[in-house]
Order: sequence, then C-alpha cells, then structure tokens
Amino acid sequence: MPTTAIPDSHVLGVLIAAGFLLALGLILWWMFRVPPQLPRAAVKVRRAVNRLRTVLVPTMEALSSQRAVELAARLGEPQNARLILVYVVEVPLTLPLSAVNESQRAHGTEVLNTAQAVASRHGLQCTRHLVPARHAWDAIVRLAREEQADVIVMSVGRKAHAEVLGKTTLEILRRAPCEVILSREA
Amino acid sequence: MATEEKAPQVGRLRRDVSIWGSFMWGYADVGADIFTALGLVAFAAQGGTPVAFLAAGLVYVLVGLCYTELASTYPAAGGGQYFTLRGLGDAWGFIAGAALMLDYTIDIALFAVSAAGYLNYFLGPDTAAFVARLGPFYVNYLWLMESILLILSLVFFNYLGIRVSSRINEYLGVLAIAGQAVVVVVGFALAWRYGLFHQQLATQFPSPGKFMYGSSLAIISFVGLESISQVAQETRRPSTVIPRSAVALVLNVLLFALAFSVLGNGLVPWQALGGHQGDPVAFLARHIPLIGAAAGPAIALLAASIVYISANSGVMSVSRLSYSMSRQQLLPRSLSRLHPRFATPYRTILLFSGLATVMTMAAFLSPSPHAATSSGAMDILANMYAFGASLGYLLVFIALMVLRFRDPAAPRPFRMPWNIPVPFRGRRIPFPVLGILGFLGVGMILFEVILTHAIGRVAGPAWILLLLVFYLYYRRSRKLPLWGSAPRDWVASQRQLLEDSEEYELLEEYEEALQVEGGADHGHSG
Repeated sequence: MPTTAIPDSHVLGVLIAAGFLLALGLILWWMFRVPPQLPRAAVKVRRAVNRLRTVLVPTMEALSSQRAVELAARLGEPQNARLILVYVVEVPLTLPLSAVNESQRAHGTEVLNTAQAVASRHGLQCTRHLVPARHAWDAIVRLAREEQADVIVMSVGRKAHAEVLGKTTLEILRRAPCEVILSREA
Repeated sequence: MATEEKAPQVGRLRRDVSIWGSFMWGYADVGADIFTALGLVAFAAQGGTPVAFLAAGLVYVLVGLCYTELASTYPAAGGGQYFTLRGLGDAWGFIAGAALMLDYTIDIALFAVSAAGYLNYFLGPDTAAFVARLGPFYVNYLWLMESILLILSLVFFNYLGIRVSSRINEYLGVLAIAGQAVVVVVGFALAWRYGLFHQQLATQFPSPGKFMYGSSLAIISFVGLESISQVAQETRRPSTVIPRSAVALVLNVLLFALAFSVLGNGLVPWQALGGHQGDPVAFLARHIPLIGAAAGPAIALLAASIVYISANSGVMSVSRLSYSMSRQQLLPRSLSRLHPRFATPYRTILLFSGLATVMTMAAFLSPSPHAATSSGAMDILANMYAFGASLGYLLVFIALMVLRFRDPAAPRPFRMPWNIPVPFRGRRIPFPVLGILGFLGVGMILFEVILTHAIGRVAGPAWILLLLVFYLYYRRSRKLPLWGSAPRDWVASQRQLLEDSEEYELLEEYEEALQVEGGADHGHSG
C-alpha cells in the first residue's frame, strides 16, 4: 500500500527539497520588499534634483575648489549629468584679454586636469574651459547661460560668511540664470 | 475629448488590494491548473514530463514578463483587453476582450464544479445516488446545487467589494501554497528516487509529436496570470507592486510545476501518474511516507480551496474586464455602473456569474445516468478556454510591441529584458526581442489548439463572431466608428491612472517625458 510506504531518502532528493524551500522563501521575501511610498512633495523634490543634468563648476587651485568638483560629480552621477569645468584667468582692465601668459595658461590647465581627474572617477561626461575675462563672475554667468547649465556648484573661502562673501560669489548669486550651490569648508 | 469621462459611474473602483492580494489573484487562477494538468501532461509527455513543463514554462515566462510590463505601465481594469485597445485600437481591443471574457466565464463554471467535486469527498455518500432525470438528460442535482451555491457565494463576496473577495483569496491561498509546499518538500526528502527519475527520463522519452502535444497541454496549464492585470486598478501602488507580484507569481508557479513534475517522475511510473488525470497531485501525495495516510482529505481540502479561489478570480476578472470595456464604449455603458455603497461593478458581476451558472447547468446535462459530471460538456468548455487564452495572449504580445512605438513616453517601471534600439521618428525605441519570441511561442500554441482541439476551433471563433456582431450593432447605434477607434485622450487617461494610483514618481517622469516630446503629437491616438 502506498500509504504505508517507508521513508527512503536520497541525498539529492533532500538537497532538492532544501533548494525548493530556499527558492520559495527567496521569491516571497523579494516580493514583499516593496520600496516605501514617498509623499508627493518629496517626489517633486527628488525629481527636481534629478533634473540637474548640466552642472557647471568653477575651479581654482584651492583644495576646497576641487572638493566642489567632487560634490558636483556626486550630485550629477545618478542622472549621468554633464560637468562643465571652468577656470577663469582674470585679466586687468589695463591689459588686453589676450594677454594671458603661458604660465597662467599652464597653471589653469593643471587645475582643470586635476578637476577632470576627480570627475572622471564618476564616469561623467566633462567639458573644460579656460577663459580669460575681466571678472570671473561675468565669465561664469555667461558660460552658464551659453551652456544652459542647471546648477553652478562652487566653493567659497574658509573665512567666508554672509556679510563678507567675495564679489565673485555675490555677483554669481545675483546674476546666475540657474540654481547656485555654495560649499564652504568647515 | 475624454470619452471615458462620459460613461456613467458612481465613484471609482477602490484600491483595496495589497501586494499579497495582487499575487494571490494571479495564483488563484494559475495555481489550480497544476492539479488538473499534471496527469494530462504525464500521459502525453511520458518520461519527458519535466522537460515538457520546462519548455512550456519558458513561453509562460515570456507571457509573464509581457504582462508585467504592460500591467505596471497601464494599471487599469481590463488587463489584456485594455493593452490591446491602446495598442491596436477599438476593434482589436474588443476581440481580445471577447476572448478573455470567454475564458473567465468558463473559469467560473469550470472551477466551481471542480471545487464542489472535491468537497463531495467530505460528504461521504456516493454522489452518483443523487441523479435525476430531466427530459432526455440526467442531472446530478446534488453536485449541481453545490456548484450553483458556490457561484452564489462568490457573487455575494464580490458584490460586497474587492476587499472581501481579496481576503478570501489571501487566506485560502496561504493554505494552498503551504499544502503544496509540504507535499513537494516531504516527497523529495523522503520518497523521491533518483534512479527512477533518471531511468524514465533517459529511456521513456516520448516521440517528438507526443512531446509537442504534452508541452502544449502544459502551456495551457499556466493560463491565469492575466488576473493580476485585471485587478491592477484596485491595487495599491500598482506600478510598484505589480512588477513584484507578477514576477514572483511567474517564478512561483514555474517552481511548483517543475517540482511536481520532477517529483512525479522520481516517485511513480509515468503510466501510473497519467492514469490519474482527475487527481494527479493527490495520487502523488498518497505515495509519500508519513503524510500519505492523511493525503486524501488534505489534498481534497487543498484542491477545493485552490479551485474555489480560481473561480473567485474568474468572477472578479470578468466583471472588471466588462466594466472596463463598457467605459471604453465597447459594451453598453450601463455595465460600467458601480454600486453606490460597495463601489463594485455589480451589474457585470451578476451578468457573468449568471452566464456561468447557465454554463454549469448545461455542463451537468448528461445523456447517461452514469456520466456524473457530463464530461462532454466540460470538454467543450476546456477547449474554448484554450482558444480564448491563446488568442488573447497573441494580441497582447502585438500590443506590447506596438505600444513601445506609439507610447514611448509612458513610464515603464518594468521593461521586458533584451531590447534592441530601433530608430523611429528621431528617437531610439527599445524593441523587445523577447516579445517576438513570445509572439511566436503563443502563435504556435494557438496553431496547435486550432489543429488539435476539434470543438475549440469551432466554438471559440463562434463566440468571438457572435460578440463581434453585437459590438458592431452597438457601435452603429451609438454612431461610433465600426472598425476604427473612438477619439480618446490617452495622455489625460494616463495622467489620471497614475494620479489615482498615487504613483507620483511615475507621474513626474511622465510629465517630463511629455515635455521632452513636445506632448502635442501624443495627444490623440486610436
């Protein structure tokens, strides 16, 4: 009679039984791991950040400036944003704009190289600009407009606070056609 | 012009279905199939039964992935019919709907009768004693009354609301999955013999013709995934939940189908399993040590539970499908009226449950007093079932591919894998390679059904033609295009769907995609 059959285990059978249970458990466990729902306002905020697809970063030799590149790259990484790295050589009014010397150019190139190295770790598309200008803020705002940047990420000096932000920072905050994010070292 | 808004309606369908409920609506429909298919497939595919289930399972996985993408993209009542309507227009949408309506109505009748049959196990007396003569026919009135009572109970639960009917599914479903898992685990651990399994697979593999027939039967045994998309409009956060519940269902059903077929091959000769086409799982369970003695009543209870919730799934699905078709002006508008208190499409619940009751009565009319279940009539139902399912799936695969091109902006939380970028109107559309494979696979099944199912190839198309004539009459009376599509604002409809389901992330994504596209060229389709 089948109902009085004697247990006759085979090691493969036991393994299949264990595998079956494990698979069943894993399927149900995965199914129940539904991501939590976000309130609509939170979704709008998330999507607004996701829309930042062109990020402009003014660079300088200071470490804080390169840190701004890293911050910008992390900000843009999820949406595979394009990074625009800019180094401005301020040329005094007494000199023509073309009066940028080799040493300044080499220095700017070196700063941009470092910035690009930081950004390339995140696999983002990068464009770089070495721009001579009368005022750094003017060049940055103009470039932001031309490149249709969604956000400018820049660092300010360690001593900066609301009352004594540099002219460049203040003018960018005032005139930028897009969002501006300032980073100040602790 | 949003024509859907014109349909009479009191409130909206309530979103009362959780992730477990969504999973169980699908499982309710598919889970019952293995209880009937295992013996049939074993009889045809012989020692190659597990391979037949595997081959069928591959097509089933493709169907599952297709439905997962579409149901999470368009979480609307109607399922395959709605997808076909959006992709191919009103007339094809109606044909897909007619095919699925046929399936669900049969589903109610078939599984209510089956559940009553399993419950008779507990009644003790021989039910053949309750046969009465009715003109030229004989009727097993006890069984018939039980089946009708079960249908009435489903009408009652579904009338009260999706929450009640979903709870029935959820509780009975736990029992069913647990019971099946016990049979599989104990069977493999204590009784499965590798030698027998290997010997049957190696020496008793069927001829190619028999194997094809066996795998086509196995494919039909996977029918039912559609239910998840039918209940999408009542699922909470459907675009998030459905990809998980549907993929879990596909894997779960495949796991059980393969497990039972491998267990069968290593437990008993295929001839013995094929000889128990009525109760193959119970037959297997009786051969398992320790649980074998209790297997009879336990499997009867288990099977009754599963087939009952499968019938429940039929009531829910056909009522939502016809509700959706009514709102889309494919059926009279009065069918889309919701109950003022329970927010259920009560008219369609009553109509199709009534139709299923008539089918059940017809199934019990037997020319012989010994044919207790009037198996001839049941064969007709099963044949038509196979035809309806394969035709519906075929149209859904076409709709999937067309919608990738016609509606690229709609956010797809799940996308069928393996896509080739195809340039189209300045965009690169990911074309689903697996969609083509699925289309070919389901097309082959439809071909096999037409070739081998003598009744299905006549009765199935006859049902479609009959409803098509009614459709054309209705459309003409409403002065709507007969073969073309009524104008619809699909963008507004999609917004509404995402808004109602609180899928805000997708709604934002949709708005962004529309902005990129310019929106305007998207407005009116169909």
